[in-house]
Amino acid sequence: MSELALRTDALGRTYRKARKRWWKRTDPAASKEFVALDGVSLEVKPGELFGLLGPNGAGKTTLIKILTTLLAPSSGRAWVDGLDVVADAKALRPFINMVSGGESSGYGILSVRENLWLFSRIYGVANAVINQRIDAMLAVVDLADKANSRVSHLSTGQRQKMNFCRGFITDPKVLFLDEPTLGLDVTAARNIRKFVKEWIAEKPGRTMLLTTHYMAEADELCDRLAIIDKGKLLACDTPANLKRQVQQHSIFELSHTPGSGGLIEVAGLPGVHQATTTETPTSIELKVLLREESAIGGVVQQVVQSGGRILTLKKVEPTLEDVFIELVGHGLNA
Amino acid sequence: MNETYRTLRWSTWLGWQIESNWADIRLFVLYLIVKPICGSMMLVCMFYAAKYATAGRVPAEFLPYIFVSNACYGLVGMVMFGMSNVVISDRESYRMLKYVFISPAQFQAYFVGRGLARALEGLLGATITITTGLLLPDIRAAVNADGFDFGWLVVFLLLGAVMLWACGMILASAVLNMSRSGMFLSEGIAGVVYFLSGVVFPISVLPTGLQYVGLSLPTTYWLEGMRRAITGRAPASSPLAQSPLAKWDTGELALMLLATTIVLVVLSQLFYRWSLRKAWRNGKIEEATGM
Ligand SMILES: Nc1ncnc2c1ncn2[C@@H]1O[C@H](COP(=O)(O)OP(=O)(O)O)[C@@H](O)[C@H]1O
Ligand SMILES: [Mg+2]
Repeated sequence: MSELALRTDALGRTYRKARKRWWKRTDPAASKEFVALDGVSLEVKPGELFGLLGPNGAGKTTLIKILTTLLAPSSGRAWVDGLDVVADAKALRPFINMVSGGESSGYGILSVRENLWLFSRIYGVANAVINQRIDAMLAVVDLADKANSRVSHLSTGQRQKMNFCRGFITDPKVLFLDEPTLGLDVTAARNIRKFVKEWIAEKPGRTMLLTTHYMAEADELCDRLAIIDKGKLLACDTPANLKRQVQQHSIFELSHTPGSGGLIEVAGLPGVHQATTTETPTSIELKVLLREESAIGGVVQQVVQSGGRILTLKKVEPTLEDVFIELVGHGLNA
Repeated sequence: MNETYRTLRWSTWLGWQIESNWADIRLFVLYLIVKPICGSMMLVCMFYAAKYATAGRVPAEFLPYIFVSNACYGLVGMVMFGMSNVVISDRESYRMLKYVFISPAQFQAYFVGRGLARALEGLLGATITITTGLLLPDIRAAVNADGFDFGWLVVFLLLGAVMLWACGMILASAVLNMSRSGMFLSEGIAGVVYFLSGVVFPISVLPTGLQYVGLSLPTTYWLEGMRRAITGRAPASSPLAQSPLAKWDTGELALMLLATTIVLVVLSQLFYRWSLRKAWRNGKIEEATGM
């Protein structure tokens, strides 16, 4: 057990919604319990960059909160670096750190450098290396020119970048990144992904748990990943192995104009394993997983007969999105 | 212990940065000098109003009594508000409470350090107010100049610091499990304690039941001790000597302050642990409650 960086055993978390107050009338439906995590069992080895992939509300943040000792589990147990997150929380804390994306945290009155310096001190980083580490991290996120600016003068994105630095500056053994690229621009997100990969490779024994709802990010970064939805673990494997699950199907993307009679139903056609449609303002994007490639003829015919005009048609490689649809029954952003 | 000391150091530094970083010096003056002095001057004016209304039958020693204890009480309010406000500001606006919580820092020492910076500010305010008061001839004349006792002042300040720590932790713990509206809690509690601990009148004025409540609060003994250390004891002929505390000598007062403070410290620590556990269970440490 101690050779695992992370382990959860049937971990569960229930949130109690709105407590009953005698002076307030409460909607009985609202005071029900809500299961955010449902018996999640995971194992992550040291050195792994492990991803948690799931739509909003899947329970990713809840899982991270429990693993970082911020929130109590309702059932099951969890260990980080061999230490129980409940019983050994104090012993564990020096070795972990966390970054939540998409929020602007930081002491506004302090400068970026002071904020980072403060956290280095909290974790007991030696004075001699603090400044050098801060400079290196600020360069990664392209924030060096803001080092001496007050945090209250930064934009949300810049604060998020500072927060990202805060996670790495304490040199944690296990690092938790919760949607680190959420809301960042393309270049910044790309730099962060590049750095994350370098960081994990730089020193053996470093482990990272990263959550995201961007499929491509999970595919690019993670050694292994778990797909979760509605608090349940649906699959856990390498991105390549996960995609192999849907490789037996031929996948086509078809874009067409709306038919005369609303949405065109193709899911029931012979040879069609699964179909998902996304509407854009100008067209309808249809993605079909076919048991045999020849079934595409029937799909095309159906679209044309329903009055739709085909704009593009192409065969594509399976992505994690297809795996997700296969497992969950709907798209990630649906 | 080592971790506690380290946390205390950086959190006091942080607290001082936050408290002293006044963007506008005029606001600083308004907050730290004008506001407390105005509060005290209001009491001074009420004293004169009562004096004229009763054709001078209000004894002169009432003036330093209310003036000094009101100034000292400012410190209590400031620390209680300061420490409970750490929870709200760090959780809701800085959004750093969760990162401090999951760090190796000693979580309680974090509040204490932030409170310490507040207390320094409060001490400064109280000193400025009392000094200003001494410029008033009436107050200066009423103060028993021989009564000032530096030794006892140090004793009561030290015991008071422990008492303020316990008061602050109780408030901070309660706010952990409350939303942003917890802001009003410290004001409310400070008001009740102000009423019960004989700040502007001797507690003998209160109904008997409430007198017992007042006598169980360490703030009552602390304020009496601070008044004696600064202005000396009220003359035996004064109505102020009707107060149940007037018969106590200063050593007894200090011992009683110590005893009630120990009880308060134990209660505050139990309450802190219980509250922190509850907040961790219910996800209140990181929750930005909005509102
Ligand atoms: N403090 C809370 N009280 C009640 N419900 C919550 C609380 N925090 C999260 N939830 C619910 O739990 C579910 C999982 O949330 P979360 O773990 O934040 O999901 P994710 O990070 O995957 O988007 C969501 O449906 C959310 O509404
Ligand atoms: Mg989340």
